[in-house]
Amino acid sequence: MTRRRLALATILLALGLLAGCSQQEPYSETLLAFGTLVDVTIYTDSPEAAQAAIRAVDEDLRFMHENWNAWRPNTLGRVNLLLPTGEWFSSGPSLLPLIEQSIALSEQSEGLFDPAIGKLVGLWGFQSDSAPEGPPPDEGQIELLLEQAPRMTDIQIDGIRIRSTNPAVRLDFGAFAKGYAVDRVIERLRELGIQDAIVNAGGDLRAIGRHGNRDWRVGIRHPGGDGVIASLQIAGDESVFTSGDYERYFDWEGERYHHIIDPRNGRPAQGVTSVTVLHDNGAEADAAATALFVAGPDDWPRIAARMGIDKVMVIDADGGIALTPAMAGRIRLEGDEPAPFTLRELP
Amino acid sequence: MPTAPKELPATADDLRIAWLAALAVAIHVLEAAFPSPLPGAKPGLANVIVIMTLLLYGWRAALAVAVLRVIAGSLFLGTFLSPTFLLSLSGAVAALLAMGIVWTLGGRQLTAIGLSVVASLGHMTGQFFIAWALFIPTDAIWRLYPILMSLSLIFGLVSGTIAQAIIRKLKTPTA
Amino acid sequence: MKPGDWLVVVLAALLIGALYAHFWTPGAPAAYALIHAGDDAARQVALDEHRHLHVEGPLGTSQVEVRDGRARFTASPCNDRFCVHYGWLDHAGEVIACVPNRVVVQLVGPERDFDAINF
Repeated sequence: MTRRRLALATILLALGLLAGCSQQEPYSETLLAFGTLVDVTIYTDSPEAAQAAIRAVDEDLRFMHENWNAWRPNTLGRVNLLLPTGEWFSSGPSLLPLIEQSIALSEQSEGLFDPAIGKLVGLWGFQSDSAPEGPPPDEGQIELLLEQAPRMTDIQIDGIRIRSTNPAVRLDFGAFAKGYAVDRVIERLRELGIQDAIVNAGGDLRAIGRHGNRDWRVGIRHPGGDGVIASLQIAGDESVFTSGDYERYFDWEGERYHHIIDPRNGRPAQGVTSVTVLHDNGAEADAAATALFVAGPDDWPRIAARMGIDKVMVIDADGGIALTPAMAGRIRLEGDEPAPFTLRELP
Repeated sequence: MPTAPKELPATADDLRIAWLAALAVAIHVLEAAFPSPLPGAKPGLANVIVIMTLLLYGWRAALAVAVLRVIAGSLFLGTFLSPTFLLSLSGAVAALLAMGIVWTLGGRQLTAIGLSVVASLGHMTGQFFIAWALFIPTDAIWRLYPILMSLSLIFGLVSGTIAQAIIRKLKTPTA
Repeated sequence: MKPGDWLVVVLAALLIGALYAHFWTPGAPAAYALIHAGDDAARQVALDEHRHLHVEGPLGTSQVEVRDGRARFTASPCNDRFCVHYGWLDHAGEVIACVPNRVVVQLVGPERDFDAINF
C-alpha cells in the first residue's frame, strides 16, 4: 500500500517537473493588408480561439484599408473632396479620432509629422500601394504647394463636424494609418480575450503580454538589406516603429527618391536612413518615427524630447548608429561584431 | 534599573542542531573550495548531514539544519543574498520539499539512499528552475538539465550511501 | 537498501531518460521555406539545396533563390521591387512578400529566433 503511494508520489513529482514545459503555443498567421504583410502571433492554449480572433482582425483590416485610403472614393476620399471647400461638414466617425490625434501629434512634432501634405505626397507619386517610377515632380509645383503651406493645424473640429481653413489641405495618413490600424488590431484582440500577442506590419509593431515565460523577441533588420542589426525584448504593452527610406522609393537618373517627404521643403528628407522608436503608445511611436526621420541627424533629439519619446535608434545616411541612453539600455546590437554606436542625450 | 543580560536556555535539541548545522556548514564551505567540473554540479555532501538529521531527529530538525547551512555557509563564503545564495537556498528548499513529500508518503519504505536521491534531484531541479527563471532566461539551457540530473542521481546515491553508513555506525552500540 | 530505495532509483532513472528524450530530441526537422502564390496552397521547399524557383503570380513570374538555409527574391515583376531589395531571409519566422504579385516567402524552422522582424 505504502509502496504504491510512494510510486504515485514519485510519478506526480516527475510530472510536476515536466509540467515546466507548458502546452501553450504561439499561433501565427500572416495577413495581406495595407499593401503590406501583417503578421499576427498569438500565444495561446487554444489555437481555435486564436484562429477566430485572426479572422476578426482580418475583416477589421480590410474595412480600415477601404476607408482610410486617401485616393479612393471612400470615407477619407469624401473628406478630401470636401476639405478644400472651407465649409463645415461631418466626417465619418471612424476617421475623427485619427484626425484628432494627428493634429495633436503634428503640433508636438513642430509640423515635421504632418498628414495634411497629401498633395505633396501625391505630387511625388507615393500615394498608392506600389511605388512610382518617377520622374520627380516639377520644382514649380512643389514651390506652389509650399507657399500654400497646408498644415494639420488648419483643420478645425467641432463635435463631429470638421473644416479646413486652408484649401490646399489634403489628408494622407500613409504610414500613420498602418500604425493606427495596428493599435485597433490589438484593441480587438483584447476584446476577444487575448492577452499575449504581437502584431507586426513590417515597420509597425506592437506587442502585449509575453511569449509564455519569456518576453517577445523582436529583430530589427539592417536597413542595408541583409540580416538583423539589433534586437529588442519587449513585454507588457510596447510598440516598435521603424521608418526607413528603403520602404518605398524610386530611382531616377542615378538619384534615389523615397517616400518620407519633409513638409518644410517638399522633398524626401535627407541625412537619415532609418529611425526606430520604442514606446508604449503605437500611434505616438509611429508619428515620432516619421518626425524624427524628417528632423534629420542633428535635430532629432530635440524633437524626440518634445514628443516625450526617449527610446530611439537612428541610423544615418552613412550607416552610423545613434542611440538614446534609454534605448541603449534596452536594445542589443546583433552580429559577431556588433556595430559601434554613439550615445545621444536628449535635451 | 538595568537588567542583567538573560541567557536563553539552550536545550539538548538546540545544541544537537547547532552541531549538525556546523558540520554541514563546514562541508558546504569545503566543497565550495574545490573547482567544479561542470557549472552548477556539486556533489552536495552537506546533504548527508541533512538526511541524517531527518532520519535521526525528525523533520523540524532537518529543516533547521538545512536553512542554517545555507545562510551560515553563504555568510562564510561572502555570498549572502547574492545570486549564488539564492540558487543555494532554492536548491535546499526544493530538496527539502521533495524529501518531505516522499517522507510523509512512504518514509518507512526508504533508507537514507532513497531519500538522498530524491533530495539530490529536487535540489538540482529547484536550483535549475530559479537559474533559468531569474538569471539565464534562455530555453536553450534546458538541454543541460538532463545531464545535470544524471549527475545528481549519482551524487545522490553516493551521499546517500555515506549517510546510511554513518547512521548504521551510530546505531550500533560501541563496545 | 529497502525496496523503496530501489523504486526511487528506478523511477529517477526513468525520469532522467524521459528528460533526455524531451530536451534532446534529435534531428529537429531542417528549416524549410513556405512559398505562397496567390490563393494556392503553400509550397514547401527545403533550404539545404541550392536552387532557383519560378513562382507565377498575377503580374508574372517572381524568382526566388534558395541556398544554405536562406531564401531571397532575385527578381519580381512588381514596380517597387521591395521584395528583392529586402535581401536574404535567414531567420526562422521571417517573412517577405511581393505584395503586388501576391507571392509570399516565409521561413519556417524548429525554433524562431525572433517573434517578429521589424524593418
